[in-house]
Amino acid sequence: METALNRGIGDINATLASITNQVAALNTQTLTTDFLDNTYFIISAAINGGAMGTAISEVKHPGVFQIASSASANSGARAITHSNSIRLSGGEKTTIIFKTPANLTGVTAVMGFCDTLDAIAWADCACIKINGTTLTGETESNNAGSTTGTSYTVAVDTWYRVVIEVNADATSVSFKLYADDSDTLLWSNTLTTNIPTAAGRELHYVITAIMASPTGTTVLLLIDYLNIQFTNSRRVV
Amino acid sequence: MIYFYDDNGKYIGCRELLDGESVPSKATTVELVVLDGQEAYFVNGAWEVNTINVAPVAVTIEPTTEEVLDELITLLVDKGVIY
Repeated sequence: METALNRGIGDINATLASITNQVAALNTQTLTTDFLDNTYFIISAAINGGAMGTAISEVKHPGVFQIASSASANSGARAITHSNSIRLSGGEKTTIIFKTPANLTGVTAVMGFCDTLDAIAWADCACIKINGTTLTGETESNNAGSTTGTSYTVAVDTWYRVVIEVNADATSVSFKLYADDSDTLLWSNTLTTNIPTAAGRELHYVITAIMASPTGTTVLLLIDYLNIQFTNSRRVV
Repeated sequence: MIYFYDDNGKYIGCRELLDGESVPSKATTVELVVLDGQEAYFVNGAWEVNTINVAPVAVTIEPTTEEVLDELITLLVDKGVIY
């Protein structure tokens, strides 16, 4: 039989849990952009003459940016945070809503925590890679890499939501791909090796795409939204 | 392989069926071959494949950081501020 004392203890526990959750939320540093304007927090740069610019928005996709190639080989663009601005320590999470282009042949895209500048080479990462139509999760530490044991074949001209999450003690990285505007989980996998956490393994946050042999200006990737969370970094309250 | 489609029946990708996994809703094992530049719709238990008409896309290019810096450096050199 529930007593008044038990109810009181239950109320106190619920209040404590609520406070704990609120403090955790306040200590979670979050960066979000919907690409509605040019004040997005990442630095954009061209790769071999490519570009990043505004694109036409779509229903349920306000604010869209696109990465486009030039006519040069391996051209595209990147959006990154400052180089070496992140050292993975556990609790990092990112959500990206992106759309594949109408043609994916020769396209390579990298999204997440990675120190690449050209979508070709990198030494450290916990990221998603799309090579043609093959999407995989990747980790790499000081040039020693791991790739998820399964992959997903993406369709062209299709919106997706991808979530990359480093667990609290940075011993695993999970990758989840969802259908657009949906909870339908299309693919998921986890890596537990080659997670770059050691000193010297600092990296940045990147969204980049290139095309190996474009014949002209070609859209390579569209980005509608991104969110980065640091749930396990220093306390701010 | 399992082939996923959205609420409109549009193909949205595929992957291997995992051991012991049943076919999820909005997915099918009906085989599909789709090439680059093509889209497919699952209609009445079969795939219909269409070529995507890619309208010319006006790429509104924002000046990149590198381009802005290049212009700034050129300006400063022209003005004799730096050499």
